Amino acid sequence: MANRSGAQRPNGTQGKICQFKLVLLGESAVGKSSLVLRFVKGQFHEYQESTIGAAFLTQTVCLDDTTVKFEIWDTAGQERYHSLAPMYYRGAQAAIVVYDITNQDTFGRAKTWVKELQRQASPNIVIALAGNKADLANKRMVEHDEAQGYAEENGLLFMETSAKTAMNVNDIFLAIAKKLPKNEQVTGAGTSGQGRRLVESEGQQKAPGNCCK
Amino acid sequence: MEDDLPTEYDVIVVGTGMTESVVAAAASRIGKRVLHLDSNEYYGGLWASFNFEGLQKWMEDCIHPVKPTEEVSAVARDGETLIKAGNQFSTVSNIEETWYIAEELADSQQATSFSKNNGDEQGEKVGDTDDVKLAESDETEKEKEKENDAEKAEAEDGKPAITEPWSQTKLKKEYRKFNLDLAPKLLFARGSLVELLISSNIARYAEFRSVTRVLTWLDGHLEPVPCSRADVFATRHVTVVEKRMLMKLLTVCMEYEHSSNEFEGFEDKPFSEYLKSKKLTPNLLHYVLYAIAMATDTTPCMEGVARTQRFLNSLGRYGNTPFLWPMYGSGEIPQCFCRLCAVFGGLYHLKRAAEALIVTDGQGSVSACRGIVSDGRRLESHHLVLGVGYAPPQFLQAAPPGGLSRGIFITDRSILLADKESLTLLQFPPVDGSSEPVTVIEVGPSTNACPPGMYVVHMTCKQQTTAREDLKTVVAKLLHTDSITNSADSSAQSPNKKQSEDGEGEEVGDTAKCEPVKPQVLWSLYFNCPETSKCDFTANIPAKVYLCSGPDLDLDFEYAVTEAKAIFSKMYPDSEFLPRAPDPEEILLEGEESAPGPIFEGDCAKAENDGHKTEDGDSDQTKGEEAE
Repeated sequence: MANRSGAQRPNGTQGKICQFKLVLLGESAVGKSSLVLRFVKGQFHEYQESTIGAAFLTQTVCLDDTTVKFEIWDTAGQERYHSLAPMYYRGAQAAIVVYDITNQDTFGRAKTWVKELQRQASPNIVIALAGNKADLANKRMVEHDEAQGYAEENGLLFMETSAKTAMNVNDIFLAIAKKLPKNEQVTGAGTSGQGRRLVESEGQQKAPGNCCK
Repeated sequence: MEDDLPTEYDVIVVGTGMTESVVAAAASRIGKRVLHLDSNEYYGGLWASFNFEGLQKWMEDCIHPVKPTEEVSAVARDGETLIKAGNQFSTVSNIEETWYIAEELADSQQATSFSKNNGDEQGEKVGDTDDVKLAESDETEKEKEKENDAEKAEAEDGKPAITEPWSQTKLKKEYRKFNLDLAPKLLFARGSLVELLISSNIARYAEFRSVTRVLTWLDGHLEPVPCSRADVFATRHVTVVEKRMLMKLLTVCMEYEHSSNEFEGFEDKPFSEYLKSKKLTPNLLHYVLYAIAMATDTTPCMEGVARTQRFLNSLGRYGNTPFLWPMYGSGEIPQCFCRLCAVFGGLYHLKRAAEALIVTDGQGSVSACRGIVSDGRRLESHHLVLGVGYAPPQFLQAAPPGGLSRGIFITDRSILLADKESLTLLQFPPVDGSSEPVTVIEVGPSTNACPPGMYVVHMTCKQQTTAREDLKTVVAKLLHTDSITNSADSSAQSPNKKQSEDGEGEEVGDTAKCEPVKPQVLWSLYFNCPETSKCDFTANIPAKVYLCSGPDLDLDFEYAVTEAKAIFSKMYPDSEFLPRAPDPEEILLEGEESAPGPIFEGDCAKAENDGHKTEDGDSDQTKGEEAE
């Protein structure tokens, strides 16, 4: 991942490209994968199979002269029995903790995930709280203000989202992109990017600076 | 809610060690229904890496193992027997943890470190410790080491001064910044694991650092080993004549298939005799035998040649040495395979034990395994893959006793000072009466092994007596292990005090950075664990059960990868072992239409799923702009 300097923007201009690892967290069935599929593919499937596991997607957003590329990791179902591997958090610069506004339990669990992130993840991680299924407002069990208050106390970004209607989906990713540090130092994988990824054509990764000698 | 686990699987894997995890990933990858359990709350078993707090918990569990729950026999049917599963923790022994520093600093020292400690407390609470800042302070430390101007450890302008002495309390506060390996393993750059990670596409889950130097112990001190062609020519330690000799020898070893006469007469003799016959100087012989071949005086000739080849083959791919080290420790590697297993539908449940195996009685014929009892429930599977720690004791009767001696040391500086942070491999030759070589791996903060200002030294050797006893000689030569619990002595941690070779302390005021200064050990842990790679795992075992060995003595993961391939091919002889997982851009999600269109590198929507659709497709490349 570190320094894919070859990546070019569609219009051919060579803007700054920053790549960030973003992890999704939240209980099963709150709509984690749906949010990402909406963001990345513009799609929504009402009866999305839980096992489809869109476990590793990428999407870019453009901010002024900077292209922010998200490498989005899904839990691949490992959260179901509280068995998420610590490697999942390694080097993540951003996280979206998702709950379902029609289910109070999932909000409680979201708070636990936030704590888990503070314990396991990099101290600088940007965390966003997403109250998903906002289209089902008539079944609402978690008040907007309650979640907003919690988010403010803990320094989290917060939005209610709907993967179904696309409400706030792009916005929440964009808000995260704005909040992430985009100095040259974190180009690539940021703090985790000190290491090297193994690739088939080994010569490619011998970029100066970032890689160890 | 917990027990909504399905009850039927193709493969149940118990234990998340390296071999188990690779097998789980391979089975899941070809569409098998996999359940992967571990009774621990962490991944990796004896292959795990822990932060400082996690390691304390692990020790506690080893010393006071939780009693396994009584099995429920009601789930056994006619013609079936339950065999109680083993208890992994009984296998770790001789655990000795030692502190060499004061619990708290004296008041005067406390004052200098106050600002830093304060910051850390905040960091733990709201998670705002500034990594970049810490990286800066790392630089600061290096500058100080270079200039050697640190008279006394002092905090300047609120910046943490890394040269200030550590206390137990201070070290524990940094617990999250440690990743301490139970089984530290390097990867040969062209070894089977690197090739597997790349070919299976699991490599994207992990990051590595190159080992920056290979050291050896020669004539009473540490010396860098010239391993590449460039090193050989650059080194000042060998003469021009020796350089030619060394290059010639290494070339012969590399091309040995083509020069088969070369080793005639040495087939039954040790490698060391062959080297002597080449009239190598003692220095060169030492380099080749102990550091490059990582052999001993008795290693057979052809094995020595093969080992030399393995080393040379892996040169020049990544970095200056043939080795890679996983960021965050070796314990990451099994987790990468577990993730792939999960991505392809494998179910994961930590803190869930297998209390017993369900085995058919097998009158006359061979008995076979039908599944396990877990939390009193019957879980059935066609195949059962078991980490050796979970194996019922009666399966292991044929197992020869053998073990590893391990030492983990947190120190205040590198074993051999260099301009920049080093990642070091040292194969300590058998010297001074110790009959076994000791593998020493030193890792620093840039691998996330420890906070800035520290190093972690791992030692591993074959068990003879106890870990402490087996490693005693090497520890005494490399490390300074006098306890400095008296806080007045804490200044001994500062780099302005140097030790001479025999370990006597001596104050120096001038710059003498080339002189070796032994690191002060701040904390150490010794333990022994079984080495099961030589065990026969086929005797006394019912059909459909496959045992996986624990960490082995070798430097790399080679053994586990080979073992996993063998188990997989017994279970599914006609299936491909970990074929390449599709890249995100090769996958179409359900309902997606394939439409040709331009795709921009780095700017297309990508997904990874169960991989049954792998055509290139209409990635939504306009999304990014819309989001603007």
